[in-house]
Amino acid sequence: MVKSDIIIGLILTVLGVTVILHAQSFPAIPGQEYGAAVFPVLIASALAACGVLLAFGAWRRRASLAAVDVEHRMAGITPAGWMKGLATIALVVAYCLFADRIGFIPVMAVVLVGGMLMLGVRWWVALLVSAATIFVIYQLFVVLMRVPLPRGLLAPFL
Amino acid sequence: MRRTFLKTLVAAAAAATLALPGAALAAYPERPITMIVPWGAGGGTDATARIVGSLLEKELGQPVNVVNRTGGSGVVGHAAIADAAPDGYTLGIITVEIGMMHWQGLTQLTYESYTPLALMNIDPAGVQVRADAPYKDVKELLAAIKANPGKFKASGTGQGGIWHLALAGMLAMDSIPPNAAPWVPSNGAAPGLQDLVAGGVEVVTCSVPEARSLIDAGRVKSLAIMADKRSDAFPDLPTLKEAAGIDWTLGAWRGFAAPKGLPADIQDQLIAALDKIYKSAEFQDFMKGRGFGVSWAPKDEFVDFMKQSNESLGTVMKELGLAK
Amino acid sequence: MQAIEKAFGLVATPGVLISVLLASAFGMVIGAIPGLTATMAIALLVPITFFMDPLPAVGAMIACSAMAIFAGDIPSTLLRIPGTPASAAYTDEAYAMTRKGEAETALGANLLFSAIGGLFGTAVLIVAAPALAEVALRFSSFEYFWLAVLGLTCAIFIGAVSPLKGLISLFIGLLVATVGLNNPAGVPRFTFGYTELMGGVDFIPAMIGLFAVSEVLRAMVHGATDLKVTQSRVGNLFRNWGGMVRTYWRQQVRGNALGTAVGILPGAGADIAAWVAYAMSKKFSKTPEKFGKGHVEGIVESTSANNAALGGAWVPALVFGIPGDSITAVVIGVLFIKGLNPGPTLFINNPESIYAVFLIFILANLFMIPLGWAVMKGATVILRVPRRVLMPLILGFSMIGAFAVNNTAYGIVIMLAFGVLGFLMEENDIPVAPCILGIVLGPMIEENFVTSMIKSDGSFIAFFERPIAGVLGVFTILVVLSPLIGMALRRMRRPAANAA
Repeated sequence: MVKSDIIIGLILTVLGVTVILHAQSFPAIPGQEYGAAVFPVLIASALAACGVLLAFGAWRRRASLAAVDVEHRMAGITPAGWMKGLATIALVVAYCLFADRIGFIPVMAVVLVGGMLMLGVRWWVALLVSAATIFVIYQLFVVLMRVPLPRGLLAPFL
Repeated sequence: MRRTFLKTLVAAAAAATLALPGAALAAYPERPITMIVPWGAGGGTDATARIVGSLLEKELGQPVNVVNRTGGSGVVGHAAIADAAPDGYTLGIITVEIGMMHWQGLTQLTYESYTPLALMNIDPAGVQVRADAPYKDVKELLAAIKANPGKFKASGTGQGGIWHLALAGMLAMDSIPPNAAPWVPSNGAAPGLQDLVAGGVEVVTCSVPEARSLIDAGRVKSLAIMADKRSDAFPDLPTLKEAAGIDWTLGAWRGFAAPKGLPADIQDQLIAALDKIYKSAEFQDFMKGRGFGVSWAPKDEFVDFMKQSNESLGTVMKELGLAK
Repeated sequence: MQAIEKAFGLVATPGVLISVLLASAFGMVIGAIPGLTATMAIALLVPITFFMDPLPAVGAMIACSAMAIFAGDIPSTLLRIPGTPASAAYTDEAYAMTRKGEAETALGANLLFSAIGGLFGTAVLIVAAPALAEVALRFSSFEYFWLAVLGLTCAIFIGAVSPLKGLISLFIGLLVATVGLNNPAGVPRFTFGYTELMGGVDFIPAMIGLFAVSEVLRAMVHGATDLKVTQSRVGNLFRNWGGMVRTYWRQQVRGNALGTAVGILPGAGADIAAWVAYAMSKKFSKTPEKFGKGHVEGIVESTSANNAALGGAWVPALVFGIPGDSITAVVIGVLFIKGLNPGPTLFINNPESIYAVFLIFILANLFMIPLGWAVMKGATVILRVPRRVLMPLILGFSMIGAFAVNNTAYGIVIMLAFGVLGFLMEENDIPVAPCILGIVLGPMIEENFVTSMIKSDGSFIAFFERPIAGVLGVFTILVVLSPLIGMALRRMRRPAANAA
């Protein structure tokens, strides 16, 4: 955990400093002594300070704990695991991009079936469960709650 | 292969299991209509949109889904209405802020970005103070502000919001510099009024219906409204001109609009439906129950109204230094 | 007394009872669906209530909101998706219980203490509404500033392995809250020209992302192994309840009182009540080390608090027409339309309808037990679904829920971004709960600070000048400093101990 703490600490520090610099462009408000930049700068400074503390603390621990450092949880992730994680993100992004045009039913089916296939569910189970889920979603959100889920290509039928 | 199969399957499943409406009708509207509200559930705009939505549903025979698209002081929702397809299946309720946001440089949108349908509500700003405040009328209040610049704090909405302009315009018309009564931004009228009662601010320039329950409770009194004539709901309340000789009117308004480029026949059909709704007892009772002012201006009249509102707001905002 | 008799007559009609029952069922469903909040359920009822008589209309809203707040606990316990924001405070705790095989105990506690909390809030509403509303009305931005800061200190107490990492999470949340146009200056911040970002980061999609989507990503990356434990049966439900009531009566009373108090304050509702109650429970617990690992104590206190807050919120709403939370904001509008204009006069002119409203409150909380029990029993089926099937379903529901909050794909984008963030945070032992707290309280702190400074012409002394503000301020500062003082004392003692 030592190495990751140092990295996170540094990332947070950089983030904090970036925010502070960016906030300088916020305009002052006539009649308000504490303008739009005050709070972001305050919070970003605190975040950067925490980042420095985290990195520094980990650096100091490094000497004493190097031999018995707990293995980082992310070290156990296989390349296939990483791929699946990225594929999941890709599925959600794909939904955002295509649901409007194609409609939520087919795209959601791709997300659900794709997710289940990645986790090793048999294909026919995945199909059946997805169909049932989409039916439930449709009834709850579209029929009962009138949420305007995109109809897309299926518009003539819905 | 798999995906086509899948799509067919899902479509078939959907077609088989979901209760489908009957064969598509040729005439508009043949499917549900979405009505976008740029403000949150629970507010006056939301309530107006929902009542009109449910009456429009009866009028047109298709469901009207009222959906809230909130955030960014109305920018997000107003943009969503303007950006939708002008096919008559997305409508929206637009508010006075459409004539303010572009002056602040928050958006390119103006009243010209829409196909106007009809104006249905105007609520003039009122001048509210604590019930135990020592001034009898607006004149005394303004004199007190003039005598103690910076001492009196006012609230009622966010920085640069409609009620902020109401106050600033009133002060300007009485040749008092706007910073004589510093504006305390609040998250709407209700928190502003709460702060008035709690002693945090001295003046709240929101609409009178928004303050009504506190007026009834004897906590707040209204001194005047910023309108041409007295309101039917509050006939005892003088106008600003009567009370202090200041010729300044400002109100929040709400109207219905569609994305730009809506076919003329659909526009006329919708305006006819809204006209019927406006005249219905349900709508009138509802607005009266909430204390909201009703006002009707269809199509070109609505455009003229918005144009005028846009220009007068721009003038005040430039004076206040809020316009970019 | 005659008024009370009349009130019974008003309530005991088929029309009222049926609408309360139907609205209860509706609220239960909406509350259990992630992304759909109690406020949305109420807003959806508005057009329907327009065509109803006053009492059934108000009754429907009361029942619907009470059920929705309780039902939010169900997906939160079973799937780690808070059904409503009010459940977020103890989502991790309840989910940890499910992982230990105690889902039914957690849900049973949620149900029982939600109902009791609701009844307590109602009792306070009945007994002391006018007097309490008077106190709540004295709160100005100075007082709210201190309350919000006090709320922030909760972050230190809610389940961080290392306080530093808890603080990091909190500051990330606070920073996220500054995005958008909704700040006292009315200036767009960190929007980079995108219209959607002007609306800021909606915290419901963010919450769904941090809790639920991060869990899905973890399952995808590490593999979705089924929970090894079998869920233990609660057995005789009521006997178990008796045990919990006896063991945790202190927590429950404290949660009830705190929830009602937070509810009464305009601008703070069930969500904040639950956070503060959870933090307080941990702070005062004899076994704080058990918190966050599936311990029912904190759940008892916070689930009582969020339902008690509902009753509390009606206090300023009925007495002054000032909404205590977003739900009562909608309700006030309906009251006006129905001619039941809120205000002190309502209590004088129309006492029987006020009593009838109170009766419906009681009724709704009693209905909650059988209805909630049925829904819970049905919902625990979810636990028998293999996780490799369940995880994609959670993702699907989260996406639709995030969309439904504001009806835009932007909600899904936020959800995804926070899902990834939550995943990375938890893999590195940074807790996600303080981040949510930061997003909730950030705007409140900034707004109340800036407005207070305008009012006081920039003088900090004003934060202590008003009597309530002064007391709150001193108390808050003591609470904030207490861990530092504790740390200093330990530091001083440690070398001594080493030497000995």
